Order: sequence, then structure tokens, then C-alpha cells
Amino acid sequence: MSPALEPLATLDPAAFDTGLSPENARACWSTALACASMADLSRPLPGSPPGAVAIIASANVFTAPLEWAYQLAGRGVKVYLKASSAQRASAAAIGRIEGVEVGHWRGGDVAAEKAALARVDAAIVLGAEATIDAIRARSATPVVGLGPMFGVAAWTGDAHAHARDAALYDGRGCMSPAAILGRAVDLDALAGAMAEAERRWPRGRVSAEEASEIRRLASLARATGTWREGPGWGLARLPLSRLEPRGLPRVLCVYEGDDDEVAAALGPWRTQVGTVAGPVPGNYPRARRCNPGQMQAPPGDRRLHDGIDVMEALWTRSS
Amino acid sequence: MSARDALRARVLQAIETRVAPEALFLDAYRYQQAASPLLARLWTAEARGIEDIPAVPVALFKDLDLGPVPPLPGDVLFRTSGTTGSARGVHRSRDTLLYDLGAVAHYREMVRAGPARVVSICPVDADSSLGHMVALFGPVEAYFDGAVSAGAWAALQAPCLLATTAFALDALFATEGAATLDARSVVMVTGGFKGRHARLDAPALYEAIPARLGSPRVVGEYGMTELSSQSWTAPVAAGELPGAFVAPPWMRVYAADPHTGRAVEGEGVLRFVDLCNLDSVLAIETQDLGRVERRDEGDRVTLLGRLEGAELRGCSLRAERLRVQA
Repeated sequence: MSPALEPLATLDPAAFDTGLSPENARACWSTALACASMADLSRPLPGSPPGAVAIIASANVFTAPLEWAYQLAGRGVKVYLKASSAQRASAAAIGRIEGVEVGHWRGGDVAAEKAALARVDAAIVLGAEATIDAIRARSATPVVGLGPMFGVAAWTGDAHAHARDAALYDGRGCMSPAAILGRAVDLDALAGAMAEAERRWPRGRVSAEEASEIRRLASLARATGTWREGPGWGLARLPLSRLEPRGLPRVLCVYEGDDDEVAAALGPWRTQVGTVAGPVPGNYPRARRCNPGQMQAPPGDRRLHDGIDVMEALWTRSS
Repeated sequence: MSARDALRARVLQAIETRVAPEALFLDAYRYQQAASPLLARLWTAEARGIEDIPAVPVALFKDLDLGPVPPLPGDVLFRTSGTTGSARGVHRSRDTLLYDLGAVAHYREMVRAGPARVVSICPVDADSSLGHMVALFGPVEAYFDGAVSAGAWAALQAPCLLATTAFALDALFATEGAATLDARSVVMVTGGFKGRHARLDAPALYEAIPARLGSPRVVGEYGMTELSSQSWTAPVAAGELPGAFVAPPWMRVYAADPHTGRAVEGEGVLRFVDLCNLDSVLAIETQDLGRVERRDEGDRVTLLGRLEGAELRGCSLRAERLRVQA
């Protein structure tokens, strides 16, 4: 653990009101801290360091700004962090990193946003494409946008690893598995692993809209494939033709097909695939590859996130 | 006589008498369960009461054709409106007999003395169920083509039924003009007050009616592509807000807990069990929130909003929110 992050490791994220269960919030927090620590702060970067960077996060998982705040502050860059009002507590926790200042304004408050961006040389915006585009359009400040992405995994037989990936952040993270792909997927083993993951990291709050969407998915799976469920989890096996990335809480979708079929089915979304676990066929230019069980903290080269070298982009002020 | 025809005769009787016994709903459920292979996979349980009939999420109409009658070239298809690139839900039936008789019967029951002439200011496609329904009430003069058409104000002569959505009425009021309709006329307002980009002030819209349209009676209509029956409010005087919607006796309504899906007293997500959906899916779960008061003469429904406003959390979003790369 990096010394700069040690004060954060003593905090209990169960108090952050993340919507996750206390057990899951703690697992996500420790995973995110470990993931951030993997960054190489001495890596040479082209260009010149910005004096200050704003991180604007909306509707993301609560740890999303952590990695960037840590890396920037660790390189001596002043960080102004704006998180959504629902994430004030986790933002305040990230604000314990020396050099990070936390601020809040209401989403869409253009004057506050303009004032904040006037203080910085560049910004990282995490959120919906529309949010990123709107901020870019309103500001002359270079913006690095990290929009919505999703993860996919190849069925490897390690059901517990897949279930762990799906359990962290209750499956809502951009690195969570939206699909398990392959042949001869053992649904019994996956169901058992999902149940065990639920016991270890119980599912947190589910919105009414999410619950409604889960019922739709369950009906679709019952009609066209298989639906398995238990308290706090669901497992759908659907035809590959129905592949649709979903970030539903603690619901894992399995699509069976040969390599060519899988690659073709994922083709329309190939640039939105941010994390690939196992040997998923196809070319995903923005994805980090790892093994199942590692999707929330992929080891190896930490330079690229969603195919973007965020630090390099900030140093060169490329938008 | 086929099972469908026998049930259809009983539904027609229910429409005529305005009495729909629970046994008829359960028989219709068993018929659809037996006749539709897809519904058979969804509906594996025995239903002892109407609320035991599993409600199919309305969004599933975008994914599957669940109906018990196999598709034929002459089938009637109503499609939901959709944004560019998004799938449209399809409601298929063999014919519109139940739809038509049920729609007219309940309209007459609720509105009474409806005018014979219809002025439509509704954004409808050729395959919209709303357009089909409005045409059942009389010859239609349509004045909406992406925007309110010229001549709309001049067409609003008493007596007439002005069929409009809340947003189209707002758009009409944004144009210059006024009409002097009297109590022989009816303004039918349908559709929600919250759109993709704007939210209308419902009281302000209704309060503007006397100044712009005179003194017609005003009714609210609640329907959707996936249902063959509609709910109506009782008429109110111009300037007043319509009250609760009343469903016809052949369509039962109840609320369910949006989280658990279990039937609840009080507020919840609305479910409709519509006998006129004999060729499609009997029981539908909407994304509307409301409160239901059970009445033999017709369940009373108070709308409270939509589930769609709830924000999905996390940075992994649903497919329709991702930009699909061709």
C-alpha cells in the first residue's frame, strides 16, 4: 500500500452510504486502494505537468476518482475533486490525500462548473457521454473523458472468480462483467458461486427501476433460455443474439456461442468493452485484459484506462 | 368453436354487460398459457386469483412476440413510438374486434354524449394504437404533423372532441388562437406530462383551457400500445384537473411493490389484466407508479409518476445508453 493511501485504508467505507452492503463497500474500497497503489508514479511522461486538474465525477461507482486523484497528487498536481451529491462521503475520504481538495456543486450548475474549470489546466470527466460532451462544449479547458464502458469474461470454469467479479460494486462498475461468454457454461456451478458471493458480500440497495429491469430480464431469460435466482442474485442464460450489455445489480448474464459467433455478437460494442477477462475472442482496442477474478483490479500495465493514457493526455493537454 | 372463439364470446358479453367475473380472467390465463409456447415458459404456475397471473413487463414487447395466436399476414400490429435506433414494442392481434368494442363502450360510459366529430392534435404514427382508438369515436380531422398544423384553431368548432396529448396541447397553446367550445365539446388529454427533455406543469395546462378553448368538458385518458383497453377519468369542467382514471370492468388493475413484484395495497407499480388482450398477453406490468382502488364497476387508478425517472447507478450503463458502434 502506498503511504499516501494509508490514511484512507483506515476508514470504513460502510459509512459512505454507497448503496452497497458494508461488506461489499469494504471489499471494493480495499480493492480500489490496492489497484491505485499499482500505479507507477515515476513513469516519465511527455509534455509538462499541469498545475491543477479538476476531476468531475457523476453517477460513477464511489471509488472511480480515487486512482486519478492519487496519481495526480502523487506527482505534485493540485486536484479539485467534484463528485455527485450522493458521493460526498467517499469524495471527502479521497480528499484526505494530500493535495486533493473536494468541492461540490449541483450537476448542471454551469456557473460553478465554469469557475472550477477556470482554476485548472485540465479536467478528467467521468460519466455519461452526454455529460462529457456538454462539459467539453462549455469549456476551453482540455477534458479527458472517461465514459461508460463494460466488461466481458470468457467462461473458464472458475465460477467463484466470475461471481466475485460480478459481486464487487454489485455488478454496476464499468469493469464488472456484463456477459460471461463461451461454451458449456456450468450454470449449477455459477449459481452456487453467486449464492456464496451473496453470503460473503450481500447485495446492497436496488432501485425500483433496476428491480423492474431485472424482472424484464428474468422474463426474457425464462422465455428464451434459462433463469436461476436466489436471495440477492440472478443468473440468466440467453441466446447470443440477445446480447445486450447490462449493469444490473448482482445479475450475471451468460451467452453461449462459438468463438466466431461471440466475436460477431460483441462487434457492435467493441469500442465500449473496457475490461476483458479470459480468452474472449475478438479485438477490443480499448480493453485491458486479465483473468477472471481480477476484473476490478487488472494487474499489469496501468498506463491505459479505457484505452486512454490518462496521465499522458493530461500532461500533453490533449482532449 | 375454438377455445379462443369461446373465450372471445365471453369477453364480448363482459363488455356488453360490464360484468367480468374472475373465472373469465383465469380461463383466459389458462388459454394463453396452453396456446403460447413462450407464455407457457413464463407462466408455469396455477393461478387461483387475478393477482396470481404473472404480469409480463411491458418492455418485453420490444423483445418477443408472446401471443397465443400464430402470426398471420393480416394480423393487426400496433407499435410503440420510439427514438431513433431504439427498438419499438409491437402489440399483435388477429383483429381489433375486442379492442374496438371495448374502447367505444368504455368511452361512452365515461364520457357520455361524446361529440361525433374528432379533431386530433396527436403525434401519432400510422401504426399507433392511439390513432386507431381516436378514429373509433368519429371522423378524424388531424392537425399534427411534427408540429401543430395550420388550421387547427379554425377546426375547433363546437361540438367536437379534441383528442390531444399533454405536450401537443401545450404546443397548441403556444400558437396564436382561441376557440369557444361549449359543454357539448370534450377535450381528451392523454400521455404523460414528463418528456425526455421537459416536464409540463399539469395544473397550469388545465387552468389555461378556459381562456384558450372556452368551456368544454375535459377528460383524461390512460392507455398504452400494449393494452387493448383504456382508462378514463370522469369529465370535469374546463379549468379543473381530471381526477382518478377508471378502468373498464374487463380490465383489472392492481399495484405491486416495485422491488419485490408482489401485489400491495396502496402505492406501487401498476399492473393491468386486460381481457381484450386475448390475442397477446393478458397481464402487463407497466413502468407507471400509482394507487389503485378496487371497484366492481371499474378499478380506480391514481397515477403517481414513472419508474423511468430513477437513475441507474454505476458507470456501467444499459445498452440503449451506450453509443453503438456500427
